[in-house]
Amino acid sequence: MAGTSDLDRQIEQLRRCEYIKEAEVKALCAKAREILVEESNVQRVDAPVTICGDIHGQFYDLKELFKVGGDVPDANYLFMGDFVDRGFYSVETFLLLLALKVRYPDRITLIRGNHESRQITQVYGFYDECLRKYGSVNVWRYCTEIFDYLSLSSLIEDKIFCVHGGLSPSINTLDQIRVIDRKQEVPHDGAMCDLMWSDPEDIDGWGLSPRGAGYLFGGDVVAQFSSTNSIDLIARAHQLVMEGYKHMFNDTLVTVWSAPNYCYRCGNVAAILELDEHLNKNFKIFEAAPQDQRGVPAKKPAPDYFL
Amino acid sequence: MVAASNGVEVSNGVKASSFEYKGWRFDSVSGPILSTCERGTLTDKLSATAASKGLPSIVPPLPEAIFGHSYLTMTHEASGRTFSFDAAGAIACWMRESAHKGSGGVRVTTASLPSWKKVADEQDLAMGASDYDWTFSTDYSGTTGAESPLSPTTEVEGAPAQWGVHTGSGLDMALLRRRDIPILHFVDLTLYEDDLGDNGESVVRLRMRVMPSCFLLLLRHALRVDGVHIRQHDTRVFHKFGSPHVLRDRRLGEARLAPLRKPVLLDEPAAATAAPWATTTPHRLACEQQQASLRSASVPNEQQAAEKLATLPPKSESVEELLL
Repeated sequence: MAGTSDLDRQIEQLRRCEYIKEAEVKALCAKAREILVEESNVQRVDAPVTICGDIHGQFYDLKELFKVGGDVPDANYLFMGDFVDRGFYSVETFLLLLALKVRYPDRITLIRGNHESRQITQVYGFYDECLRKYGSVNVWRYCTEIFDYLSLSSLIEDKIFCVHGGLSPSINTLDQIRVIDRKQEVPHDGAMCDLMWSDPEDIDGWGLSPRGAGYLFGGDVVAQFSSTNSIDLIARAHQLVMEGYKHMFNDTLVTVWSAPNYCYRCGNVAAILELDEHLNKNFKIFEAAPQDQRGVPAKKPAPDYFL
Repeated sequence: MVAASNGVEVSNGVKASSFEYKGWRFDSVSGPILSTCERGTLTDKLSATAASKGLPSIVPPLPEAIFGHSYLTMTHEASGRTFSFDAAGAIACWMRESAHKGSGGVRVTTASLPSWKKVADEQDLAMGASDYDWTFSTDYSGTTGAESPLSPTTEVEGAPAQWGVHTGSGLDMALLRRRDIPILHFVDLTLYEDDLGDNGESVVRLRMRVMPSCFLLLLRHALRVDGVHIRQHDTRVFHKFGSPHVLRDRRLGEARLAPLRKPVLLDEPAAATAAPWATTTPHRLACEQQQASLRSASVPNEQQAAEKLATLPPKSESVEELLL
């Protein structure tokens, strides 16, 4: 049908890091909404699948990720949120992932990160980028409306629970996640907020972040949750790891980070986690795209007459 | 007179540069953030140093991006006097102050929500770990040593330099404002940074420029807690070639941000019905007040924060001098 060839053309365009027209974004978001609205808050995913962490608008590094992990639809992907903000190409990054979702709904799963939020994107870059690239905030509006439809978590073969941030003290069972009404802006507290914001920490039980809001959870909390829900592993993203991934709590939790050379200056490598049909794990490490494959030349720090 | 080797890559993303001019040598290295293993080593070292000084040896969680390979050392070759700057030094200062003062009561905006207050009150959750300066504020102004070190600043031993009160006219701002004189050598390093869990930014950055008649270094810790607080701790080190002393100007500026500075859903019609804001009066108020003013919604970035702070008197300020 005409729709598919249009979509394929848009995907090709986005793969070249060219953003699509505002009207096309609107139509794409409308189609995406029809697909996403059907998804569960704990979206079922079959193995084999490749789990990815934060991308943060680093479009050329996302292309590296696909080089290392294979293209959609050849490979099956699960992205654990934070597609936008901080990098230079949040628009192209999110729209490419969304277009792939619409084109191959069963080969790519997108779950929501704390940056998929109206409020956060106004502080960390996506809002300004939309305004700069489209001259209006309409594209930001379409995208943030779609953010509200993104699933909150995934369950791979009933054994691996994937979420952007972590656990919540108000959640003991997956069924409690399933009944959350997710179609809203990320709240400032409560279960939905915690799933996107909390962090594992080497503590006993639950901790309150020293910042005064947000939870930290310890290995015993993970053990309890995993036992209650018969899962073997929690995969999450949300925190920068120099090595691309990091195990905690005797390998019952893993952080996956997929933005190499984060913010174009940290010098870290990135990782994706490949699971085969038996859920055997294989981490693939990758580096930032070489400079000559990026759209803009590297900005040499120009000497400035600072005072 | 000039011998420069700029930006030579020595290994794996680590770049070294060296510049010599009018009896001074400027050595700098920039590299990637520390690995998990290197962070462990740094933690052990900080713990041992703190214990040896009779301070609490528990090291709080470190900033997420520590550029631990990066440093700048300026050496006055005739006297052997060195001025060094690195992440470990900045972190040690943060840790010392953190042990004394914690975060000084700075909390993110959402901490004022009744739900989080309730959590904080009801549960004495892991308070040991919570009681530290999570803003990573540091009053670090570099390490002044007597001998020329071969490795970064924390290795420096020797008599601590005696900075005295400067009674002269301070930094030659007229000279520093001139843009017609060339910059011969320029260094721009970040020592550490942390995004405060997406609640703002805390960055320690260093810049230095060498010009034909002088050099200026600016070491700045800039903190922004979104919608809550901005703070800036600046150290400027200035020397006019041929003069007998080096000047150091340190100042601390800070300001609370009005709640309305928090970004709002500008011109977003659904704002009033969106769940989080509907129940949070300040945001809703801001939304109503600012509905007409579309456009960039971002909170102050470093530049804007610096401009805002420049309009306020510094909280503390001192100018010192060190005889070479």
